[in-house]
Amino acid sequence: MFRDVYQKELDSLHVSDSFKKSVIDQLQASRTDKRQNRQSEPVGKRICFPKIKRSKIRAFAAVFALCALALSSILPKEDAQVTPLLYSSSGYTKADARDISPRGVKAISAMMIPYTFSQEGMGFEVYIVKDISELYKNSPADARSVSGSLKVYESTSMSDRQTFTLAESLLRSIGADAESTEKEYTWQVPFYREDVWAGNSPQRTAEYTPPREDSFLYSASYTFDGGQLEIYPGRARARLTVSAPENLSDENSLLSWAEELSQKLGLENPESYSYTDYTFSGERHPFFYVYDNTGDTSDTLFAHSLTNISIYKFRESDEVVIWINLPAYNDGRQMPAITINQALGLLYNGDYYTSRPEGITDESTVAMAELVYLDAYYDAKTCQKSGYAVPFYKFYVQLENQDYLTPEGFVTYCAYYVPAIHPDNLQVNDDFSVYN
Amino acid sequence: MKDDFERIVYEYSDNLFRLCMHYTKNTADAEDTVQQTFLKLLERSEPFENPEHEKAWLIRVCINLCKDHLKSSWSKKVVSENFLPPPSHREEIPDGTAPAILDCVRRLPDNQRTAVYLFYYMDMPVSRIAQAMNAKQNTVLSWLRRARKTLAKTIKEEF
Repeated sequence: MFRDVYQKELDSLHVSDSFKKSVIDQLQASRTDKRQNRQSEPVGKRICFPKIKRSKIRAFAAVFALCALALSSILPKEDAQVTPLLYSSSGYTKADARDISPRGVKAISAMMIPYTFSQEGMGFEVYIVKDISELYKNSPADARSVSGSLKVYESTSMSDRQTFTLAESLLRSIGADAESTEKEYTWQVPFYREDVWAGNSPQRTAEYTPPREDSFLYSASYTFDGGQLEIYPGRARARLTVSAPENLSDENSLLSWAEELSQKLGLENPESYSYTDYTFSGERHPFFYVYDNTGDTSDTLFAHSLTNISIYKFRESDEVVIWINLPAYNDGRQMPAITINQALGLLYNGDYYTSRPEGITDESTVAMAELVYLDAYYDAKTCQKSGYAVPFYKFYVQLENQDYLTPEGFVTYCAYYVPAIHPDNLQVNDDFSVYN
Repeated sequence: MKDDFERIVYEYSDNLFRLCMHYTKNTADAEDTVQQTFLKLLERSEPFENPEHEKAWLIRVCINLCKDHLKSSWSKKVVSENFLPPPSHREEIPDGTAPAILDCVRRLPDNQRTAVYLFYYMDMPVSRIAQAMNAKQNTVLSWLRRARKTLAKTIKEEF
């Protein structure tokens, strides 16, 4: 009886064919490498060829060298940079931003560690929860089973013209009349102190007329009967405030409504989720999220992390705020990914990014891991998002010192990030200026 | 040799994976260990004497790698269970289905659980198990006896 049940349970466990094939490929590649290494090792022996054979070999070598030279001038050149720059973050004592971009391109992006908690202006990303599973987001990609490659997406800026076209399309999709809306434009006007940029000052106009030559559009607002739409082209986000139908009292009906609305806004296969996280004030996390499940692992995970649409319903009114992430990215570029075990190795080795003042120790406990995309960097000076959205393993590490600010019955976790792309394929620019 | 790799991977990967799942408890770690086991083949210069020798060698390497993995600094610190979705997202076991015997086997000491796997799943004779586990036959018999006793008690208490 025991043997039968045990065998039946184990029979259900097996590795996939793709895993077997990848192992065979790896075995063959490793064996080839070994052979090549062995051949290149000095063996302490000298081989003597007859004179005629020696001249033939020399002639062949000369022809081969000429061919190689000719080919090298035709073939595209690999980028010459060789240093994988993943710094240990143990030396950093506060939240900061880092340039992270694929190797071989100009490093213009950054990864911003989000601040979700602050005390006297400083803060780090912490989660105060009763049970870590409250933070579970039902991700479409299992962090434990990453193999092969993942995509890195480059953000593309939106022109003002694209902003207006998109606004009209969004208004049409929800049945609002674009022509009869009241429009307002907010501009950012740079100001200087002693010829040094000191900040931006917002100015509003009713017409699309920049108040100054060097000012740029920050947002366009459309007020219509029953709501308002604001578009922020630099952030590639839109904010829609509308009245929700009366019957959205429970979570399920709100999520169904959100999915229907998402289809109208252009999502082909919308799926929704929400946290079960309760804040330590006892209130439930108030946002609901919708993302497009395209079937492609990276695309879906990217949509899930950045959430195409997030919805916040006010408790005291029927008003609903909908944040829409606009499609301001390229199609993505496949890059070799590391497994969660390799990421854990980097984590315990100190190769991580975090906003927490202290690093982790050998005693630190990783309570949960997720695979997430962090958005490209938003520069407050130019009000533009630029650079790359890169996948990261996000490790929730339990703080050893639970004394401060952790109410009784709660546990505090801090987020540590390790890029999910192989370090050889990333470059990190440490000299990046941070404006916000 | 290309065919050899293919044969070995196709013949043993599932069974080695099942063996690893007795130690690592998550599929990603188990797959990593299986992969490392096969890579160890490359370090071996001598041919195997016979298929039984090949099998015993792979099992022994796999067990050693599983133990190394458990000893590694981070695997001790990671709460594997918490990587799994919370209970509300997991698939429920339908009523009337047999309970997870594998979980009971996992709770046995290392040597006992490996012996149980090789004896009850791989149908290996005690003499081969002893060879694969680098132990005496009587020791293997003793591990199996103790494991049977513990399992009988656990299964009776829990299910």
